[in-house]
Amino acid sequence: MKVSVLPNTLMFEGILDEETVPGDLTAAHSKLTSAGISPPVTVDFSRVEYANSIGVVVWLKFTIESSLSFKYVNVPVWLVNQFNMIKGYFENGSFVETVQLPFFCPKTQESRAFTMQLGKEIPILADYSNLKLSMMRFDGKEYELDVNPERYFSFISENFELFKEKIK
Amino acid sequence: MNETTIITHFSEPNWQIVNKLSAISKCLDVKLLHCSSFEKLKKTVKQPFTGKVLFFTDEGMIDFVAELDASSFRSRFEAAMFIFSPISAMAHKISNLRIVKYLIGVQSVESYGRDLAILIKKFSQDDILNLEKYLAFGCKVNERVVSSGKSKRDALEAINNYILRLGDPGYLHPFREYARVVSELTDELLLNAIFNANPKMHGVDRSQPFNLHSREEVRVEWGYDGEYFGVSVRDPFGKFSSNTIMSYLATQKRMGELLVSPSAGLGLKFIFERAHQVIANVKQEQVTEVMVLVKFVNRMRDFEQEKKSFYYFGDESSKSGNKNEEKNENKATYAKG
Repeated sequence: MKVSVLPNTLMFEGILDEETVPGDLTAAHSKLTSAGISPPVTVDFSRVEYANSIGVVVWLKFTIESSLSFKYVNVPVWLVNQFNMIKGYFENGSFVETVQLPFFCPKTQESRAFTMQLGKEIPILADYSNLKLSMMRFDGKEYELDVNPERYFSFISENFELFKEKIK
Repeated sequence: MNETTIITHFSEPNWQIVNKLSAISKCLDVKLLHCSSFEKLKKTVKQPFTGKVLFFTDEGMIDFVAELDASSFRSRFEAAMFIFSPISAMAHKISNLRIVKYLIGVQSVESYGRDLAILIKKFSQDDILNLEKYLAFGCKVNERVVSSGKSKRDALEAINNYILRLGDPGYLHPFREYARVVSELTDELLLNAIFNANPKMHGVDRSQPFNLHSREEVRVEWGYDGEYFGVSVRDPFGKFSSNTIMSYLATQKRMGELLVSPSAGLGLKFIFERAHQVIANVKQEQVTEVMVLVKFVNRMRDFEQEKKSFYYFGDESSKSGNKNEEKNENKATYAKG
């Protein structure tokens, strides 16, 4: 996985797997620190195809050892699934700002992900079972939400107080 | 010749399933005894059987299954349990029950035929290996051998590209998401086969390049039959046990525990979270083949809601020694996974 260091931001590309070594992440941390760091540090995994279990542990170890808080942006679907499966992504006050959300066009049977902002398009709720999102329009087509919101946003409802505090 | 017997009894009358099992058993020349009452069931299981017995039941009968598991005649039995709860929730209840080998997510009876027929046929004939059994006739199965980090990456890329080309390039199809899901699944299966099953690879730095000897090589197979995508990963070690799998799924790890091993047992959780069917075929000390099946449907919401099942085919009792010793040994083998 390639790591790019931008001002107060880490961007990743490739696959988060066993070839991602802790040294890559600590080197990026040092670079960030020397350029001046202002937590939360923005992290963008939208160009990462997926993560395997070894890569996930490398990332989680780094988040704990660095003691930084992170703001996840453009979170891809695979990472939302990880948030919902593993407790520990939101240590040190880390949180999510924007997520990708699968939609489906019944008329053309096409699938598309839209990026949405928590607190704006996606309300911060303790229970998403009754969430209704309006249809999305793109290229003359209407798309409806294609996930179970209660399941997809359980990482928010399980960390409701944290997200309520961070997303104003 | 030993004959196979199927016994059925459910916590509530379930004639649709009984009729389906009865029909399949007749087609496969397997004897079926339906126990319409609990009294009849208790008498039936005490009968002397000349061959193996497969007991079909549901999770409402778990207390009886536990009794059967603790009985002196348990070695004759394997249990197939229809489940309403998620597999991870069932794992807590059955991780110590050796006879429970098959967990079948409840769905419409019409959709069971193929799965039940494969289960009964594999159980009765002891012919357990090969992905072809799960894919429709005529489906081409592709193959790669993995012996290094490079060949692992190549195999994953080949599977990813295979799925991506299934979709029309001018259309926003869901195959891109499916390619990602299957890549995740295959990657975890490969990690298990390369680093956990092979004793030589225990404790190695997994970020370093590796080369496996020809007798340690891992074989990956995959194919799509228009409904199911199947991928199989086979290693030559034969050390996987159903108790190990269930024990890991039953464990909710705390953050501190997650950080003290290379993948902290997360791989199995990832596999069971994403696959619709997980099938482990194990010939002790010879071969482990773990297969996953995912049903490609148009909507991701339907994909997420598909019921999940787990099948373990293999003779764990062929390893001598008591139950606890074997369990501890297997845990040691997989603790790094």
